[in-house]
Amino acid sequence: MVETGRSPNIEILTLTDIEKVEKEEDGYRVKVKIKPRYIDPNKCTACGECMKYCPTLAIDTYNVGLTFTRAARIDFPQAIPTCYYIDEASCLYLNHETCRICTNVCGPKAIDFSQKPEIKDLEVGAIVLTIGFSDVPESVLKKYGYGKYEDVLTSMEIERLMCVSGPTQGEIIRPSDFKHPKRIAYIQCIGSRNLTCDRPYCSSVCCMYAIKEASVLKEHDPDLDITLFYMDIRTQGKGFDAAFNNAVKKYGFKIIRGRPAKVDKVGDKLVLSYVTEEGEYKRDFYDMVVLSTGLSPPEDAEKIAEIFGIDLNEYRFVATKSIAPIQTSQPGIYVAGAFQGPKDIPESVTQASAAAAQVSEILKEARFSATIKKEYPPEEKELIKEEPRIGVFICHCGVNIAGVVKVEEVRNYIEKFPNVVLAETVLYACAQDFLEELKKKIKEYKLNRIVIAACTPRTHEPLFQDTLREAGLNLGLFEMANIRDQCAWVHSDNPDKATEKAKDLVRMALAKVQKLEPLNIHTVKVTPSALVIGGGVAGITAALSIAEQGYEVYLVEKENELGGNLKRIKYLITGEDPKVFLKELIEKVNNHPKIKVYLNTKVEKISGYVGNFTTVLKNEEKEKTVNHGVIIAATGAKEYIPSKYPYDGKKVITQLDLEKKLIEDKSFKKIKKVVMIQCAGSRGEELSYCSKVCCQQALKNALKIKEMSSNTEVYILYQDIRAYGFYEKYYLEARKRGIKFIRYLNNKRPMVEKKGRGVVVKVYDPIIGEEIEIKPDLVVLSVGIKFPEENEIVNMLKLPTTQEGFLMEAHVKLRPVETTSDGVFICGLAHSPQPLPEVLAQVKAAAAKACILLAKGVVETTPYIASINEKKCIGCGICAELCPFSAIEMVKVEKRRKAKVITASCKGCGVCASHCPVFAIDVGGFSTEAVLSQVQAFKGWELLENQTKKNRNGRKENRKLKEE
Amino acid sequence: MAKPKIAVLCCNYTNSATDEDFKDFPCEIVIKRFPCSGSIEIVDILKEFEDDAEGVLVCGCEKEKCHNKTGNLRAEKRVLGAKKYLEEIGIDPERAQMAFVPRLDTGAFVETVKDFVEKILNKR
Repeated sequence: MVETGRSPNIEILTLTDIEKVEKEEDGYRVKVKIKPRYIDPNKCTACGECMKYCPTLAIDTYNVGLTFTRAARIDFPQAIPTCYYIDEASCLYLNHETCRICTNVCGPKAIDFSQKPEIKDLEVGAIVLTIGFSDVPESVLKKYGYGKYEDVLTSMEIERLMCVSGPTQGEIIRPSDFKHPKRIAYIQCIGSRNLTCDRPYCSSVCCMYAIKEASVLKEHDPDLDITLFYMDIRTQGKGFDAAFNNAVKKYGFKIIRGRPAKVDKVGDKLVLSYVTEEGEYKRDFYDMVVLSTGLSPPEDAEKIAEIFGIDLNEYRFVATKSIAPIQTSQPGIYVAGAFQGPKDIPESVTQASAAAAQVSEILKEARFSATIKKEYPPEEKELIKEEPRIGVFICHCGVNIAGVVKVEEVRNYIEKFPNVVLAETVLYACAQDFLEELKKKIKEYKLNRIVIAACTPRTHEPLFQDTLREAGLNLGLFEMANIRDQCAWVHSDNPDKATEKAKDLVRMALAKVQKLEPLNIHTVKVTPSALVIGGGVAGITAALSIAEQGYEVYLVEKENELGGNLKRIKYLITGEDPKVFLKELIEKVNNHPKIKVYLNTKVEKISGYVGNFTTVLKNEEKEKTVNHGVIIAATGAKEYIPSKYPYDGKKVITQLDLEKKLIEDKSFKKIKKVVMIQCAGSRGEELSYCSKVCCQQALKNALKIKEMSSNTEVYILYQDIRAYGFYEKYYLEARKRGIKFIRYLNNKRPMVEKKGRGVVVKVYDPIIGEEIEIKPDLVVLSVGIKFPEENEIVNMLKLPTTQEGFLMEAHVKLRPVETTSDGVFICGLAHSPQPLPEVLAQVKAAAAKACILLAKGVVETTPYIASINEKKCIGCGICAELCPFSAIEMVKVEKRRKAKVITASCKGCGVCASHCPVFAIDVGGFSTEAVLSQVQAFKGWELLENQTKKNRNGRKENRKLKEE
Repeated sequence: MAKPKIAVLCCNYTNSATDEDFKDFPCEIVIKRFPCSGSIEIVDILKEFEDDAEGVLVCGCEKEKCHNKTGNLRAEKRVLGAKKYLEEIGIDPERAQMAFVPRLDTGAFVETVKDFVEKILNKR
């Protein structure tokens, strides 16, 4: 969010409605209405004075109505734009023309009641809809006593209650009597998988978030007793199953399969009545009931669809196809996130990147035509070399700091120190007018070091550094002292001590800044081409997307044909024809001028780093070396045949075998009884995880069998049917078509035995409490997906893998297709088992991320990187081994082993510097000398002075000794 | 003083209330379950009064919802019969009452018992 706010190429329009969208020749004309904010974002410094003095209470919608806020407010401190706004509905002045207290208290005079709605026309090339979801309406929740009993909460409300910045500072209390609850029940599938409220789809995320919330609740209060009522446990995502099981084991949650019919209140307790799986009727008492509400389409979905001219599906989400998951029915308009269908954060982030790839493909001609690039004046080298001339600025932050810390006292104290040329206090250091003044002051006083005592460098350092660069000063010659968080906020009750501490902090910053050296932003050129490893549907789509965005692609496949696993899929559950789709893709790839396809080829060696990889490709005859800037690893995975079942390919087959048989084998109609076994070998048997695709695959094939011969009996033995999202529709249909579903327990798996010519399946049915014996004509195993154990690519690129063996992403939620090695992206089955639409979105996301590097042409490193003093380095190699980003390599310099930093890969974490036995490594901005003098200044300036003198003297003496 | 005692004779299928449901009541609630309210005899009702109950509530299923067709109607007649005997021996006949509650809905059952308890306690 912060990054978005800071980018000069992203214009954020908040409080804006889309009025009209008109299609033009090469894009769209969008008419928007920007509603007034009544506070000028350019002047607002987010000090909070207006909210403090605002007399009007308003319901806090950000905290889902659990508490009150003011008419002038900001929803949460990290909001972008970081600017307050005035709520039109509750403001006294806007409704009754009185009050206007805020205009008087606002320091920077940012409040402007004369603002009027503004109509704007935007010319755009493409549109991405990320409208998200809305909550389940209250009428649905009423059935469960929501609104009637105060202690029935939705999961959203609990989420806010748990939050430390929430209405209760993270204390879990019952709204009815403010007591701490002891027994809490979670009811799943509220407003999902329910025909009576028009929401027959599964919301996909609730199973997982319920267990997350329950875990957090338990962390708050270990004595809590939490029961979760499930229908099916649908934790199908990457690593979710393991997380679920661990949480249940660690926290001792009670998991009950069942859906309570209603919620009653007896005394001060809530009563749930339900029927267990064994058929027993039970009543239990709880202090609090949480409804795990699902995701609903936006309330005004129809209106949005009309404005943009797109189609919705039967559930009022955007209609998309399996083979084009982010394309709406209008060309040039894409959809990402929950408006396409219920989905979790990683998948939404992936889809968003995929949408970016699509946009980049169609707008490649116009790339860089409207981008703004910031230019800085050259640095004044002479000034930097001179003795330190330090400017110290102490920020009032309105009353945020000045209300506690006596800033004038700090200023007077700091003014006397050596090398301090200028010490001033400012009202708002981050305000635009001060930044302009700062630039002037740097010129006027010839300052070459700046200390700003204000808030946290985490949010404001880049802003100040930018100003320094604009003034021709190196960004490394700057230090912040955080006297807001560390003094004014935490010691608000003790102003004297807070002032003392502020003095300490500023003094320390002063000591550090004297020792700081200028930092350089390194740039590394990027070879504008990509290597895609793997010629499955993932690799093909990735190659096409990158090529469409205008870059060379080398596509490597070890087999003699493109297509991968998709070749074996004959039809899709949603009805599209995968064969036609695949054929078109392969044709496109083969005819694309920017793609070079290497079949029967293996990757022999990969060397280099982000932007500059060199790879040796080898086929039977010859070797070829290619240079490229990025790598996309789409190496795929294979179906795993478990050893516990008598798999023979005839009577006992896998789902993929069945698919082939259904299409090709004419004699199939003779088969009268089919048993499908879900999770064969998965979820704790031989593979520990859920493979996500097998449930829909089984439903797809079962429905196909019923379609071909409706007399054939089909049994599906399952643990949980994970027909998440809109796949729930097919589960319902399968039930309607008379397919028999029998649940089995994880510890009592079905037994498949061969008897004579036939097969016998024995399974324990927990509902009737007995073992059932079925004699089918065909047993179909729904087997999992396994990452190949021997994968040379993983070793070559040093890619980390998950416990399950799949490739690991850099961050599950924020960077789902990147790896810890820069310039290497992962997608497809190699990332995790997933169905086709998700693979396609993920592949596009990887292509988008790869093209960011290719389009930029250079990699800019952070200035904070490690540098190695070659003279001191003894070549032990500890740093190279420890570096988590493989950014240090050992090279030979004049026959000696020396460490060398690959600047493009270094992240400046400092692991190497802290482990170097000879202190040969320094991290930019945190050199040993600077940090040491900062620490010494903590004890007092005199000590620092003495130490420096001693050092200087010592060095002189050393020199003398040497000379002698 | 010991808590007053209220007896509830009911059809097994009317509820699955537990002691916890009546925890906050100002009196002792004794529930006796019968296979059907039709099998509750006048003697059973009078017996409760003999055992120091201050009131007896008979609960059957809603009309026309009885699994045995007319069990709850039978119970209603027997309560009327019991009321006559009570009048004869000088006890307020309102202390015995019949109630029809939805099947398997403990919430409604608990509410009915609560109303009855209030009525009885107001008589004191």
